Amino acid sequence: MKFSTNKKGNALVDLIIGIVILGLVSISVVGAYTSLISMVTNAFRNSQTSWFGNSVMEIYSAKDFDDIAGVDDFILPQFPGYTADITVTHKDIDLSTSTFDGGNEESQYKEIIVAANNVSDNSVTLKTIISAPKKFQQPGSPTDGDIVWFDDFELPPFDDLEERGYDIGANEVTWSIGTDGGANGDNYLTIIGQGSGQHPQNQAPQGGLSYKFDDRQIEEVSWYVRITAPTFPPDVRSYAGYVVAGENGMNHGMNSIFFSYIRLHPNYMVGIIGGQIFFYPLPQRDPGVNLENNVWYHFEVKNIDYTTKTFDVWVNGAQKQTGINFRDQTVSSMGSVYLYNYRGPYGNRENLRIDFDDLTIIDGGGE
Amino acid sequence: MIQLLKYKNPTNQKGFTLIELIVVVTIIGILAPGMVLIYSSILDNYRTMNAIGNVTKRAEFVLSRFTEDMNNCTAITTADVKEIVIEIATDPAQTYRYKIDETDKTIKLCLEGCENEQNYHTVIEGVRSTTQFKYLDANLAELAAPPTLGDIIYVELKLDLVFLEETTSYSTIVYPEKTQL
Repeated sequence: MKFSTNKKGNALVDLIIGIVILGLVSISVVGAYTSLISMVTNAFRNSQTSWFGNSVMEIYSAKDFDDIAGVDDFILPQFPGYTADITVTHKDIDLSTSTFDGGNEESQYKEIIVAANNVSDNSVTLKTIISAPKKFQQPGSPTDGDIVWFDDFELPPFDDLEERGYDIGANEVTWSIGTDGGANGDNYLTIIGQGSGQHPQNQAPQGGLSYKFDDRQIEEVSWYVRITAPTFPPDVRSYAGYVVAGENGMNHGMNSIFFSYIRLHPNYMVGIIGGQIFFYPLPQRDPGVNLENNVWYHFEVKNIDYTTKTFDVWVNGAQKQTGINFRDQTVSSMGSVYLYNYRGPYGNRENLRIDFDDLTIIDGGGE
Repeated sequence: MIQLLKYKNPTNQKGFTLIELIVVVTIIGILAPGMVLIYSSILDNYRTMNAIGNVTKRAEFVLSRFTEDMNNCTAITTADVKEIVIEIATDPAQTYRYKIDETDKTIKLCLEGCENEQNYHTVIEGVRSTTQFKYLDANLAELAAPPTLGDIIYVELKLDLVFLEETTSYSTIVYPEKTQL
Protein backbone atom coordinates (compact mmCIF):
# COMPACT_ATOMS: atom_id res chain seq x y z
CA MET A 1 0.00 0.00 0.00
CA LYS A 2 1.26 3.34 -0.88
CA PHE A 3 0.52 6.13 1.49
CA SER A 4 -0.47 9.19 -0.39
CA THR A 5 1.73 11.95 0.54
CA ASN A 6 0.34 14.15 -2.12
CA LYS A 7 -2.72 15.19 -0.11
CA LYS A 8 -3.26 18.87 0.21
CA GLY A 9 -5.09 20.07 3.31
CA ASN A 10 -7.11 23.10 4.27
CA ALA A 11 -7.74 23.06 7.95
CA LEU A 12 -10.43 25.72 7.85
CA VAL A 13 -12.55 23.93 5.30
CA ASP A 14 -12.10 20.61 7.05
CA LEU A 15 -13.01 22.14 10.36
CA ILE A 16 -16.09 23.84 9.02
CA ILE A 17 -17.23 20.60 7.46
CA GLY A 18 -16.56 18.82 10.72
CA ILE A 19 -18.48 21.40 12.71
CA VAL A 20 -21.38 21.27 10.31
CA ILE A 21 -21.51 17.50 10.65
CA LEU A 22 -21.21 17.74 14.40
CA GLY A 23 -23.92 20.36 14.42
CA LEU A 24 -26.24 18.20 12.37
CA VAL A 25 -25.59 15.23 14.61
CA SER A 26 -26.21 17.35 17.69
CA ILE A 27 -29.42 18.73 16.29
CA SER A 28 -30.54 15.20 15.47
CA VAL A 29 -29.69 13.98 18.96
CA VAL A 30 -31.41 16.96 20.54
CA GLY A 31 -34.41 16.42 18.28
CA ALA A 32 -34.54 12.76 19.16
CA TYR A 33 -34.32 13.50 22.84
CA THR A 34 -36.90 16.23 22.61
CA SER A 35 -39.17 13.81 20.85
CA LEU A 36 -38.47 11.15 23.47
CA ILE A 37 -39.02 13.53 26.32
CA SER A 38 -42.26 14.62 24.72
CA MET A 39 -43.39 11.02 24.44
CA VAL A 40 -42.43 10.25 28.01
CA THR A 41 -44.07 13.41 29.27
CA ASN A 42 -47.21 12.49 27.39
CA ALA A 43 -47.09 9.01 28.87
CA PHE A 44 -46.70 10.62 32.28
CA ARG A 45 -49.68 12.88 31.75
CA ASN A 46 -51.67 10.07 30.21
CA SER A 47 -50.93 7.93 33.25
CA GLN A 48 -52.30 10.62 35.53
CA THR A 49 -55.23 11.13 33.21
CA SER A 50 -55.93 7.42 33.13
CA TRP A 51 -56.25 7.37 36.92
CA PHE A 52 -58.76 10.16 36.62
CA GLY A 53 -60.63 8.09 34.03
CA ASN A 54 -60.35 5.04 36.23
CA SER A 55 -61.84 6.96 39.14
CA VAL A 56 -64.72 8.08 36.95
CA MET A 57 -65.33 4.44 36.07
CA GLU A 58 -65.27 3.49 39.74
CA ILE A 59 -67.83 6.17 40.50
CA TYR A 60 -70.00 4.97 37.65
CA SER A 61 -69.77 1.40 38.88
CA ALA A 62 -71.39 2.58 42.11
CA LYS A 63 -74.43 3.87 40.26
CA ASP A 64 -77.61 1.92 39.86
CA PHE A 65 -77.83 0.49 36.38
CA ASP A 66 -80.81 2.65 35.51
CA ASP A 67 -78.98 5.78 36.67
CA ILE A 68 -76.00 5.29 34.39
CA ALA A 69 -76.23 8.05 31.81
CA GLY A 70 -73.84 10.05 29.68
CA VAL A 71 -72.59 13.49 30.64
CA ASP A 72 -70.25 16.04 29.12
CA ASP A 73 -67.51 17.84 31.03
CA PHE A 74 -67.72 15.62 34.07
CA ILE A 75 -65.33 16.91 36.71
CA LEU A 76 -64.10 15.75 40.07
CA PRO A 77 -62.80 18.17 42.70
CA GLN A 78 -60.04 15.67 43.47
CA PHE A 79 -58.68 16.08 39.94
CA PRO A 80 -58.43 19.80 39.19
CA GLY A 81 -57.91 20.49 35.53
CA TYR A 82 -59.31 17.19 34.36
CA THR A 83 -62.60 16.71 32.56
CA ALA A 84 -64.34 13.69 31.15
CA ASP A 85 -66.89 13.23 28.45
CA ILE A 86 -68.95 10.18 29.27
CA THR A 87 -70.94 8.41 26.61
CA VAL A 88 -73.39 5.69 27.53
CA THR A 89 -75.08 3.48 24.97
CA HIS A 90 -77.41 0.54 25.39
CA LYS A 91 -76.10 -2.77 24.18
CA ASP A 92 -77.60 -6.13 23.41
CA ILE A 93 -74.93 -8.68 24.10
CA ASP A 94 -75.03 -12.38 23.53
CA LEU A 95 -72.11 -13.82 25.41
CA SER A 96 -72.54 -17.24 23.84
CA THR A 97 -71.82 -15.82 20.39
CA SER A 98 -69.83 -12.76 21.43
CA THR A 99 -72.15 -10.47 19.52
CA PHE A 100 -72.50 -6.86 20.56
CA ASP A 101 -75.37 -5.00 19.01
CA GLY A 102 -76.96 -1.65 19.60
CA GLY A 103 -79.72 -1.85 22.14
CA ASN A 104 -82.55 0.08 23.68
CA GLU A 105 -84.02 0.89 27.07
CA GLU A 106 -84.76 -2.76 27.65
CA SER A 107 -81.20 -3.88 27.02
CA GLN A 108 -79.39 -5.56 29.85
CA TYR A 109 -76.01 -3.99 29.09
CA LYS A 110 -74.62 -0.51 28.82
CA GLU A 111 -71.37 0.50 27.25
CA ILE A 112 -69.61 3.34 29.02
CA ILE A 113 -66.93 5.32 27.24
CA VAL A 114 -64.98 7.81 29.29
CA ALA A 115 -62.85 10.27 27.35
CA ALA A 116 -60.67 11.79 30.06
CA ASN A 117 -58.77 14.96 29.27
CA ASN A 118 -56.24 17.02 31.17
CA VAL A 119 -55.29 20.66 30.82
CA SER A 120 -52.70 19.83 28.17
CA ASP A 121 -55.44 18.21 26.14
CA ASN A 122 -53.94 14.79 26.62
CA SER A 123 -56.81 12.40 26.22
CA VAL A 124 -57.25 8.86 27.42
CA THR A 125 -60.27 6.85 26.44
CA LEU A 126 -61.52 4.07 28.66
CA LYS A 127 -64.33 1.75 27.75
CA THR A 128 -66.29 -0.78 29.74
CA ILE A 129 -69.49 -2.78 29.59
CA ILE A 130 -71.78 -2.88 32.60
CA SER A 131 -74.59 -5.37 32.90
CA ALA A 132 -77.90 -4.91 34.63
CA PRO A 133 -77.65 -6.58 37.99
CA LYS A 134 -77.98 -10.31 37.73
CA LYS A 135 -79.94 -10.32 40.87
CA PHE A 136 -79.96 -14.04 41.40
CA GLN A 137 -77.69 -14.55 44.34
CA GLN A 138 -76.16 -17.75 45.51
CA PRO A 139 -76.98 -18.72 49.09
CA GLY A 140 -75.26 -16.49 51.55
CA SER A 141 -75.76 -13.58 53.82
CA PRO A 142 -78.07 -10.94 52.42
CA THR A 143 -76.81 -7.42 52.07
CA ASP A 144 -78.41 -4.51 53.84
CA GLY A 145 -80.16 -1.80 51.90
CA ASP A 146 -80.11 -3.68 48.67
CA ILE A 147 -81.61 -6.58 46.85
CA VAL A 148 -81.60 -9.45 49.28
CA TRP A 149 -82.77 -11.93 46.72
CA PHE A 150 -83.64 -11.99 43.10
CA ASP A 151 -84.16 -15.01 40.96
CA ASP A 152 -85.11 -14.80 37.35
CA PHE A 153 -84.16 -18.45 36.95
CA GLU A 154 -81.94 -17.58 34.04
CA LEU A 155 -78.64 -18.52 35.61
CA PRO A 156 -77.53 -22.04 36.40
CA PRO A 157 -77.96 -24.26 38.32
CA PHE A 158 -81.23 -24.33 36.46
CA ASP A 159 -83.01 -27.26 38.03
CA ASP A 160 -81.36 -27.73 41.37
CA LEU A 161 -83.54 -25.45 43.43
CA GLU A 162 -81.85 -26.35 46.69
CA GLU A 163 -78.52 -25.41 45.20
CA ARG A 164 -80.10 -22.16 44.15
CA GLY A 165 -80.77 -21.50 47.81
CA TYR A 166 -84.36 -22.59 48.29
CA ASP A 167 -85.86 -24.88 50.85
CA ILE A 168 -88.24 -27.37 49.32
CA GLY A 169 -91.18 -28.64 51.30
CA ALA A 170 -91.52 -32.32 51.93
CA ASN A 171 -94.75 -32.77 50.07
CA GLU A 172 -95.15 -34.56 46.84
CA VAL A 173 -94.74 -31.86 44.32
CA THR A 174 -92.40 -31.26 41.44
CA TRP A 175 -90.91 -27.89 40.85
CA SER A 176 -88.94 -27.34 37.71
CA ILE A 177 -87.53 -24.59 35.54
CA GLY A 178 -89.46 -23.86 32.39
CA THR A 179 -87.39 -22.62 29.49
CA ASP A 180 -89.88 -21.62 26.87
CA GLY A 181 -90.40 -18.00 27.83
CA GLY A 182 -90.64 -16.34 31.22
CA ALA A 183 -92.01 -12.97 32.17
CA ASN A 184 -88.54 -11.66 31.37
CA GLY A 185 -86.01 -13.86 29.66
CA ASP A 186 -86.50 -17.50 28.79
CA ASN A 187 -86.76 -19.25 32.12
CA TYR A 188 -89.27 -19.39 34.94
CA LEU A 189 -90.18 -21.51 37.92
CA THR A 190 -93.10 -23.84 37.39
CA ILE A 191 -95.22 -26.30 39.29
CA ILE A 192 -97.64 -28.61 37.56
CA GLY A 193 -100.45 -30.52 39.12
CA GLN A 194 -101.27 -30.80 42.77
CA GLY A 195 -100.08 -28.14 45.09
CA SER A 196 -97.62 -28.53 47.86
CA GLY A 197 -100.34 -29.46 50.24
CA GLN A 198 -99.64 -27.23 53.17
CA HIS A 199 -99.42 -23.66 54.14
CA PRO A 200 -95.97 -22.82 55.50
CA GLN A 201 -95.35 -24.33 58.84
CA ASN A 202 -92.28 -25.36 60.64
CA GLN A 203 -93.38 -28.83 61.48
CA ALA A 204 -93.20 -31.54 58.84
CA PRO A 205 -94.46 -31.74 56.28
CA GLN A 206 -93.44 -28.20 55.52
CA GLY A 207 -95.13 -27.06 52.41
CA GLY A 208 -93.99 -25.00 49.53
CA LEU A 209 -90.78 -23.76 48.15
CA SER A 210 -89.23 -21.02 50.23
CA TYR A 211 -86.30 -18.68 50.40
CA LYS A 212 -85.23 -17.98 53.95
CA PHE A 213 -82.81 -15.43 55.32
CA ASP A 214 -81.90 -13.67 58.53
CA ASP A 215 -84.84 -11.62 59.68
CA ARG A 216 -84.74 -8.02 58.60
CA GLN A 217 -87.09 -5.23 57.64
CA ILE A 218 -87.71 -6.05 54.05
CA GLU A 219 -89.23 -3.14 52.19
CA GLU A 220 -90.49 -4.77 49.06
CA VAL A 221 -91.31 -8.18 47.62
CA SER A 222 -92.32 -8.65 44.02
CA TRP A 223 -92.88 -11.50 41.63
CA TYR A 224 -94.52 -12.51 38.41
CA VAL A 225 -97.14 -15.21 38.36
CA ARG A 226 -98.92 -16.92 35.52
CA ILE A 227 -101.61 -19.56 35.51
CA THR A 228 -102.19 -21.83 32.60
CA ALA A 229 -105.18 -24.10 32.58
CA PRO A 230 -105.23 -26.32 29.52
CA THR A 231 -108.62 -27.75 30.34
CA PHE A 232 -111.49 -25.88 31.83
CA PRO A 233 -113.03 -25.31 34.17
CA PRO A 234 -110.56 -25.79 36.98
CA ASP A 235 -111.97 -28.02 39.59
CA VAL A 236 -114.22 -26.37 42.16
CA ARG A 237 -112.88 -23.55 44.31
CA SER A 238 -109.34 -23.39 43.14
CA TYR A 239 -106.80 -21.20 44.83
CA ALA A 240 -103.39 -20.97 43.29
CA GLY A 241 -100.16 -19.08 43.05
CA TYR A 242 -99.63 -18.46 46.74
CA VAL A 243 -96.92 -16.08 47.83
CA VAL A 244 -96.62 -15.67 51.57
CA ALA A 245 -93.99 -13.75 53.49
CA GLY A 246 -93.27 -13.50 57.16
CA GLU A 247 -90.68 -14.10 59.81
CA ASN A 248 -88.11 -16.80 59.29
CA GLY A 249 -89.68 -18.90 62.00
CA MET A 250 -93.18 -18.33 60.68
CA ASN A 251 -95.14 -21.38 61.76
CA HIS A 252 -98.20 -20.86 59.65
CA GLY A 253 -99.39 -18.68 56.86
CA MET A 254 -101.57 -16.90 59.36
CA ASN A 255 -98.48 -15.48 61.04
CA SER A 256 -97.43 -13.59 57.99
CA ILE A 257 -97.02 -10.07 56.72
CA PHE A 258 -98.91 -10.76 53.56
CA PHE A 259 -100.63 -13.75 52.16
CA SER A 260 -101.57 -13.53 48.54
CA TYR A 261 -103.08 -15.97 46.15
CA ILE A 262 -105.14 -16.05 43.05
CA ARG A 263 -108.61 -17.38 43.28
CA LEU A 264 -110.02 -19.05 40.25
CA HIS A 265 -113.66 -18.41 40.58
CA PRO A 266 -115.74 -21.49 39.82
CA ASN A 267 -118.46 -19.62 38.05
CA TYR A 268 -116.17 -18.67 35.24
CA MET A 269 -116.48 -21.66 33.05
CA VAL A 270 -114.07 -20.41 30.49
CA GLY A 271 -110.86 -21.04 32.26
CA ILE A 272 -109.52 -18.54 34.69
CA ILE A 273 -110.59 -15.43 32.89
CA GLY A 274 -112.30 -13.10 35.25
CA GLY A 275 -110.71 -14.21 38.45
CA GLN A 276 -109.91 -11.83 41.26
CA ILE A 277 -106.85 -10.98 43.26
CA PHE A 278 -107.22 -11.04 46.98
CA PHE A 279 -105.08 -9.68 49.73
CA TYR A 280 -105.78 -10.37 53.33
CA PRO A 281 -107.56 -9.20 55.26
CA LEU A 282 -110.63 -9.57 53.16
CA PRO A 283 -112.49 -7.97 51.61
CA GLN A 284 -109.64 -5.83 50.28
CA ARG A 285 -109.81 -6.81 46.70
CA ASP A 286 -109.40 -5.27 43.38
CA PRO A 287 -112.11 -6.26 40.95
CA GLY A 288 -110.33 -4.17 38.36
CA VAL A 289 -107.75 -6.83 37.76
CA ASN A 290 -109.08 -9.66 35.71
CA LEU A 291 -106.93 -12.68 35.35
CA GLU A 292 -106.50 -14.25 32.01
CA ASN A 293 -105.26 -17.63 31.08
CA ASN A 294 -101.56 -17.98 30.35
CA VAL A 295 -100.75 -14.33 31.02
CA TRP A 296 -98.04 -13.03 33.33
CA TYR A 297 -99.04 -10.69 36.14
CA HIS A 298 -96.55 -8.64 38.07
CA PHE A 299 -97.29 -8.31 41.77
CA GLU A 300 -95.41 -5.84 43.95
CA VAL A 301 -95.86 -5.57 47.68
CA LYS A 302 -94.20 -2.26 48.47
CA ASN A 303 -93.64 0.16 51.31
CA ILE A 304 -93.80 -2.53 53.93
CA ASP A 305 -93.94 -0.46 57.09
CA TYR A 306 -93.02 -2.27 60.29
CA THR A 307 -94.21 0.61 62.45
CA THR A 308 -97.69 1.04 61.07
CA LYS A 309 -97.78 -2.64 60.06
CA THR A 310 -99.05 -1.85 56.60
CA PHE A 311 -98.01 -2.23 52.98
CA ASP A 312 -99.13 -1.21 49.51
CA VAL A 313 -99.88 -3.39 46.50
CA TRP A 314 -99.20 -2.82 42.87
CA VAL A 315 -100.26 -4.98 39.98
CA ASN A 316 -98.73 -4.62 36.55
CA GLY A 317 -97.17 -1.31 37.52
CA ALA A 318 -100.38 0.24 38.82
CA GLN A 319 -101.03 0.88 42.46
CA LYS A 320 -104.07 -1.09 43.55
CA GLN A 321 -104.18 -0.85 47.32
CA THR A 322 -102.56 1.24 50.01
CA GLY A 323 -102.20 0.73 53.72
CA ILE A 324 -103.12 -2.92 53.78
CA ASN A 325 -102.62 -4.24 57.28
CA PHE A 326 -100.12 -6.95 58.03
CA ARG A 327 -101.96 -10.19 58.29
CA ASP A 328 -100.36 -10.68 61.68
CA GLN A 329 -99.92 -7.37 63.47
CA THR A 330 -97.26 -8.81 65.77
CA VAL A 331 -94.83 -9.49 62.96
CA SER A 332 -91.91 -7.06 63.04
CA SER A 333 -89.56 -8.44 60.41
CA MET A 334 -89.34 -10.73 57.42
CA GLY A 335 -87.15 -13.77 57.06
CA SER A 336 -88.92 -16.05 54.60
CA VAL A 337 -90.96 -15.99 51.43
CA TYR A 338 -92.96 -19.03 50.37
CA LEU A 339 -94.30 -19.98 46.98
CA TYR A 340 -96.79 -22.80 46.83
CA ASN A 341 -100.22 -24.06 46.04
CA TYR A 342 -102.58 -25.17 48.70
CA ARG A 343 -103.90 -28.67 48.45
CA GLY A 344 -106.83 -28.68 50.76
CA PRO A 345 -110.44 -29.57 50.52
CA TYR A 346 -110.95 -26.92 47.89
CA GLY A 347 -107.89 -27.47 45.79
CA ASN A 348 -107.51 -29.86 42.93
CA ARG A 349 -105.23 -28.59 40.27
CA GLU A 350 -104.24 -31.45 38.04
CA ASN A 351 -105.13 -29.24 35.16
CA LEU A 352 -103.23 -26.18 36.28
CA ARG A 353 -99.74 -25.04 35.76
CA ILE A 354 -98.48 -22.24 37.98
CA ASP A 355 -95.42 -20.29 36.94
CA PHE A 356 -93.37 -17.80 38.92
CA ASP A 357 -90.64 -15.48 37.74
CA ASP A 358 -88.41 -12.66 38.96
CA LEU A 359 -88.90 -13.21 42.66
CA THR A 360 -87.37 -10.09 44.23
CA ILE A 361 -86.81 -9.25 47.88
CA ILE A 362 -85.51 -5.79 48.66
CA ASP A 363 -84.13 -4.77 52.02
CA GLY A 364 -85.26 -1.58 53.67
CA GLY A 365 -81.91 -1.28 55.41
CA GLY A 366 -83.02 -2.10 58.94
CA GLU A 367 -82.32 -5.11 61.06
CA MET B 1 23.69 23.17 -6.66
CA ILE B 2 21.12 24.25 -9.12
CA GLN B 3 19.59 20.85 -8.70
CA LEU B 4 19.59 21.33 -4.99
CA LEU B 5 17.93 24.72 -5.24
CA LYS B 6 15.25 23.27 -7.48
CA TYR B 7 14.47 20.52 -4.94
CA LYS B 8 10.87 20.39 -4.06
CA ASN B 9 9.27 18.77 -1.10
CA PRO B 10 8.28 15.35 -2.42
CA THR B 11 5.05 15.32 -0.39
CA ASN B 12 4.05 18.68 -1.65
CA GLN B 13 2.34 19.22 1.76
CA LYS B 14 1.46 22.67 2.84
CA GLY B 15 1.17 23.66 6.52
CA PHE B 16 -1.47 25.73 8.27
CA THR B 17 -1.07 29.37 8.16
CA LEU B 18 -1.33 31.35 11.29
CA ILE B 19 -4.52 32.98 10.08
CA GLU B 20 -6.16 29.61 9.48
CA LEU B 21 -5.33 28.52 12.97
CA ILE B 22 -6.65 31.73 14.50
CA VAL B 23 -9.94 31.45 12.59
CA VAL B 24 -10.35 27.81 13.59
CA VAL B 25 -9.69 28.46 17.25
CA THR B 26 -12.08 31.39 17.18
CA ILE B 27 -14.87 29.31 15.65
CA ILE B 28 -14.32 26.55 18.18
CA GLY B 29 -14.37 29.10 20.92
CA ILE B 30 -17.68 30.46 19.71
CA LEU B 31 -19.31 27.07 19.15
CA ALA B 32 -18.07 25.25 22.23
CA PRO B 33 -20.39 26.90 24.76
CA GLY B 34 -23.33 26.20 22.45
CA MET B 35 -22.36 22.58 22.21
CA VAL B 36 -22.00 22.38 25.95
CA LEU B 37 -25.47 23.81 26.33
CA ILE B 38 -26.87 21.37 23.81
CA TYR B 39 -25.34 18.36 25.49
CA SER B 40 -26.29 19.67 28.89
CA SER B 41 -29.86 19.88 27.66
CA ILE B 42 -29.63 16.34 26.39
CA LEU B 43 -28.40 15.18 29.78
CA ASP B 44 -31.17 17.09 31.55
CA ASN B 45 -33.76 15.55 29.28
CA TYR B 46 -32.31 12.14 29.95
CA ARG B 47 -32.52 12.66 33.69
CA THR B 48 -36.08 13.99 33.45
CA MET B 49 -37.06 11.07 31.28
CA ASN B 50 -35.65 8.64 33.80
CA ALA B 51 -37.39 10.42 36.66
CA ILE B 52 -40.71 10.42 34.83
CA GLY B 53 -40.43 6.76 33.99
CA ASN B 54 -39.50 5.95 37.54
CA VAL B 55 -42.25 7.94 39.23
CA THR B 56 -44.87 6.72 36.77
CA LYS B 57 -43.90 3.10 37.31
CA ARG B 58 -43.96 3.42 41.09
CA ALA B 59 -47.25 5.30 41.15
CA GLU B 60 -48.89 2.89 38.72
CA PHE B 61 -47.81 -0.05 40.85
CA VAL B 62 -49.13 1.24 44.13
CA LEU B 63 -52.36 2.65 42.69
CA SER B 64 -53.08 -0.57 40.80
CA ARG B 65 -52.43 -2.69 43.85
CA PHE B 66 -54.53 -0.45 46.06
CA THR B 67 -57.41 -0.37 43.56
CA GLU B 68 -57.37 -4.14 43.15
CA ASP B 69 -57.33 -4.74 46.90
CA MET B 70 -60.13 -2.27 47.50
CA ASN B 71 -62.22 -3.90 44.79
CA ASN B 72 -61.75 -7.26 46.50
CA CYS B 73 -62.36 -6.10 50.03
CA THR B 74 -65.42 -7.20 51.93
CA ALA B 75 -65.08 -4.80 54.82
CA ILE B 76 -63.22 -1.71 55.93
CA THR B 77 -62.34 -2.03 59.60
CA THR B 78 -60.05 0.98 60.05
CA ALA B 79 -60.38 4.21 58.12
CA ASP B 80 -57.69 6.64 59.12
CA VAL B 81 -55.97 9.42 57.21
CA LYS B 82 -52.70 7.53 57.29
CA GLU B 83 -53.95 3.98 57.58
CA ILE B 84 -56.65 1.79 56.17
CA VAL B 85 -57.39 -1.77 57.16
CA ILE B 86 -59.53 -3.95 54.95
CA GLU B 87 -60.70 -7.52 54.85
CA ILE B 88 -60.17 -9.39 51.65
CA ALA B 89 -62.54 -11.97 50.21
CA THR B 90 -60.37 -15.02 50.58
CA ASP B 91 -61.05 -18.25 52.41
CA PRO B 92 -60.13 -17.80 55.18
CA ALA B 93 -60.54 -14.03 55.06
CA GLN B 94 -57.34 -12.00 55.14
CA THR B 95 -56.72 -8.60 56.60
CA TYR B 96 -54.66 -6.10 54.63
CA ARG B 97 -53.27 -3.02 56.27
CA TYR B 98 -52.00 -0.04 54.26
CA LYS B 99 -49.96 2.47 56.25
CA ILE B 100 -48.42 5.76 55.18
CA ASP B 101 -45.18 5.98 57.13
CA GLU B 102 -44.01 9.57 57.41
CA THR B 103 -40.78 8.64 59.16
CA ASP B 104 -39.25 7.01 56.12
CA LYS B 105 -41.63 8.53 53.56
CA THR B 106 -43.10 5.25 52.38
CA ILE B 107 -46.38 3.44 52.02
CA LYS B 108 -46.26 0.02 53.57
CA LEU B 109 -48.55 -2.95 53.20
CA CYS B 110 -48.98 -5.69 55.74
CA LEU B 111 -50.72 -8.91 54.75
CA GLU B 112 -50.49 -10.80 58.03
CA GLY B 113 -48.96 -10.56 61.46
CA CYS B 114 -49.26 -6.79 61.48
CA GLU B 115 -48.37 -6.54 65.14
CA ASN B 116 -44.83 -7.15 63.95
CA GLU B 117 -43.22 -4.27 62.07
CA GLN B 118 -41.15 -6.73 60.08
CA ASN B 119 -44.28 -7.88 58.29
CA TYR B 120 -44.79 -4.48 56.70
CA HIS B 121 -43.56 -4.35 53.12
CA THR B 122 -42.72 -1.10 51.42
CA VAL B 123 -44.77 -0.69 48.27
CA ILE B 124 -43.54 2.78 47.39
CA GLU B 125 -40.87 5.18 48.58
CA GLY B 126 -40.48 8.89 48.27
CA VAL B 127 -43.97 9.91 49.32
CA ARG B 128 -44.63 13.38 50.61
CA SER B 129 -46.23 13.93 54.00
CA THR B 130 -49.34 15.22 52.22
CA THR B 131 -50.10 11.72 50.97
CA GLN B 132 -53.27 10.44 52.61
CA PHE B 133 -56.32 8.28 52.45
CA LYS B 134 -59.59 10.13 52.12
CA TYR B 135 -63.08 8.81 52.67
CA LEU B 136 -65.94 10.14 50.61
CA ASP B 137 -69.71 9.98 50.79
CA ALA B 138 -72.08 9.29 47.91
CA ASN B 139 -71.71 12.90 46.73
CA LEU B 140 -67.92 12.60 46.71
CA ALA B 141 -67.69 14.96 49.67
CA GLU B 142 -64.91 14.16 52.08
CA LEU B 143 -66.10 12.72 55.38
CA ALA B 144 -64.78 14.35 58.51
CA ALA B 145 -62.15 12.34 60.35
CA PRO B 146 -62.64 9.90 61.84
CA PRO B 147 -65.35 8.79 59.43
CA THR B 148 -68.18 6.53 60.43
CA LEU B 149 -67.44 3.31 58.57
CA GLY B 150 -71.01 2.95 57.42
CA ASP B 151 -70.90 6.35 55.73
CA ILE B 152 -67.98 5.51 53.47
CA ILE B 153 -68.96 5.08 49.85
CA TYR B 154 -65.66 5.82 48.11
CA VAL B 155 -62.04 5.69 49.21
CA GLU B 156 -59.46 8.01 47.71
CA LEU B 157 -55.72 7.57 47.79
CA LYS B 158 -54.05 10.93 47.24
CA LEU B 159 -50.47 10.12 46.40
CA ASP B 160 -47.92 12.95 46.45
CA LEU B 161 -44.49 11.83 45.29
CA VAL B 162 -41.06 13.37 45.22
CA PHE B 163 -40.30 14.23 41.63
CA LEU B 164 -37.13 16.07 40.62
CA GLU B 165 -36.93 17.85 43.98
CA GLU B 166 -40.54 18.87 43.63
CA THR B 167 -43.87 17.08 44.01
CA THR B 168 -46.11 15.32 41.57
CA SER B 169 -49.56 14.14 42.51
CA TYR B 170 -51.59 11.11 41.66
CA SER B 171 -55.03 10.24 42.94
CA THR B 172 -57.45 7.43 42.55
CA ILE B 173 -60.99 7.07 43.81
CA VAL B 174 -62.17 3.54 44.41
CA TYR B 175 -65.63 2.17 45.02
CA PRO B 176 -65.24 -0.87 47.27
CA GLU B 177 -68.18 -2.59 45.67
CA LYS B 178 -68.21 -5.75 47.75
CA THR B 179 -67.88 -4.01 51.07
CA GLN B 180 -70.51 -4.76 53.67
CA LEU B 181 -70.10 -1.99 56.15
